[in-house]
Amino acid sequence: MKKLFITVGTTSFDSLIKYIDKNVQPNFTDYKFIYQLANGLYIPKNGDSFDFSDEISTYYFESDVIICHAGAGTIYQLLEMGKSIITVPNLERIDKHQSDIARNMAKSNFLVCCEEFENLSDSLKDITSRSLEAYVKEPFFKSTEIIEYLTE
Amino acid sequence: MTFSNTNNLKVLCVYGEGGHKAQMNRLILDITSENSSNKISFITLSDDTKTHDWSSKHFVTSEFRDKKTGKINFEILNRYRMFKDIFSKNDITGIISTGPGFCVFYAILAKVLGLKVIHIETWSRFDTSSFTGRIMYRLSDKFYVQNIEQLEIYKKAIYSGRL
Repeated sequence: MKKLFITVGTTSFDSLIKYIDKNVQPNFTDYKFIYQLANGLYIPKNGDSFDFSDEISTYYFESDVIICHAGAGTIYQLLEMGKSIITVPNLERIDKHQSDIARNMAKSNFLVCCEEFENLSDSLKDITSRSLEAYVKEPFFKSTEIIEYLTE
Repeated sequence: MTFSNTNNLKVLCVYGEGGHKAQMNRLILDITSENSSNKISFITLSDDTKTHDWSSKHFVTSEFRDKKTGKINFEILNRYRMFKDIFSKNDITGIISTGPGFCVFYAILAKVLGLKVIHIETWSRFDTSSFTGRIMYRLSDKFYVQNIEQLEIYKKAIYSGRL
């Protein structure tokens, strides 16, 4: 059975979890749904769930598709692992900045960005047939400068 | 045989939980791999209770701004006491920050003490600026941006590539 992993990072995103459990899962019974909830209060009725894990990379590795909040740490780690991801900006947070990275990564076609929950089912249908670009970045190159500055 | 660490430079790494912590970890691992015979040791200060293997000493503080309610948690006295505790017992050369907001407080105190302040702005910003970034841009001695689009906003920042 294919595995779909849903992760929200360190802050809860109950509206997403509830939406997926009620409106997406019934259309995709060929996937096993696993949820990482943080300190969220809504517990999905169809699928497994947990709050946090020290071994989250294992879940990432074993999943066929991942739906994630648009936290940069999560996004970059998943892209570096070559995973197919649908990212959903968490607008429950007081700062709405998650849209920035979500749109910019989608602009480069590294992932699918879903700002409206209503588009999630279609995004999930598309993602397996859609060809995303392999993630590339210019790696950090200022370590030597920082060391020199600190030791001068 | 024992080796003395008294000649080691000490740098205070200030970071919040989640992505800020992940960035600090990548940064310090990159720094230590570039400079394997270095004489810098890293003390950490975070609202995360767990730290990394490369940290020689870890201090825990509280989050500055609640992510759900936006309520600001000044805790000025506690932060000042923490600062005194860290700086009186350790000869700190400078601080490195990866945000978020509470780092500003420690950066201000570091500046007052004449220490070096380095800030790596978050990898999550492209076309928008962060609360921490806007302040640290003016406060830091070295302000790095990881996404080249950020140079439109922070004209005098240093582009560093992405952690």
